[in-house]
Amino acid sequence: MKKILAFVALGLLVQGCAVLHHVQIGEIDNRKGLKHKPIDLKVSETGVNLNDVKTISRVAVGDQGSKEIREVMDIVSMFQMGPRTGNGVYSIEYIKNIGGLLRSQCPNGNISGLLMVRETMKYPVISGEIVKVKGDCIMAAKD
Amino acid sequence: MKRLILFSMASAFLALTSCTHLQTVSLTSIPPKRDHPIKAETSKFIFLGLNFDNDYVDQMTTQLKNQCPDGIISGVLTKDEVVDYFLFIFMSHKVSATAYCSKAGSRVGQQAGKPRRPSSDGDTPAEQALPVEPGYIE
Repeated sequence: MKKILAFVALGLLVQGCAVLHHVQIGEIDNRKGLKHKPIDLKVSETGVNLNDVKTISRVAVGDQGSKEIREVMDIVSMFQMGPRTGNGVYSIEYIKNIGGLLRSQCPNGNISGLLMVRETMKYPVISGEIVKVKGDCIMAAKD
Repeated sequence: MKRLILFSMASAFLALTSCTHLQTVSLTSIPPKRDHPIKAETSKFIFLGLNFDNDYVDQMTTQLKNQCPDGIISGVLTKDEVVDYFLFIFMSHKVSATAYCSKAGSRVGQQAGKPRRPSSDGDTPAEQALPVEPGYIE
């Protein structure tokens, strides 16, 4: 019974190793006679899970030290309220150039069939906040 | 005995019910001709929340393309759902997309074999844009 509970607890601890937040598919131009070049790009940033920081501090620095850390984390978390996906990151600049990266992979054609995925890869304390974009660069067959 | 019966009934109710949560939804422009609807769906069964990748989503566009060869797929309604079978211990993550297939030459103003004019965002000079086909509606 203890082993089963330990297994369930382990499963809960590692819950959501890869979390899918948002999926979006755009219009797809699948006409023949055109050249299709696949586009695949991924941007990511490191996120921090404040709850994991509090839990680990309890183990690493003991009760007194962890109490001060928890108080600081509680103050920080009050400034991070609101709807969001995944963990907080220090800077959201990593997503601002997605349009430019797409255009650089398709400078002279039409971008079509975009599949955009917002996901999180979770590890203890930190996480990878990822935006993946896949699609096609459509050009005339003679290009 | 009474407690055992009540516990069994409560467990049965929990086991036989499930909840479906809609995570996200998106919709693109809907074409005027909607004679040929198509659908793609992919899902992943997740036990104890142990999910190590989301690569199952990548096959969605391929599924849509296979149903609409030599056409344009538009009016794409994408839904991302989580089906909880039992206390989030057994659950399924399902992504589905329904769309409409317009065959080449059936859409107004577009010639088969010619790429559509890319939308201008001010970065591309007019002379570098693809030539406008006769009858193209902007």
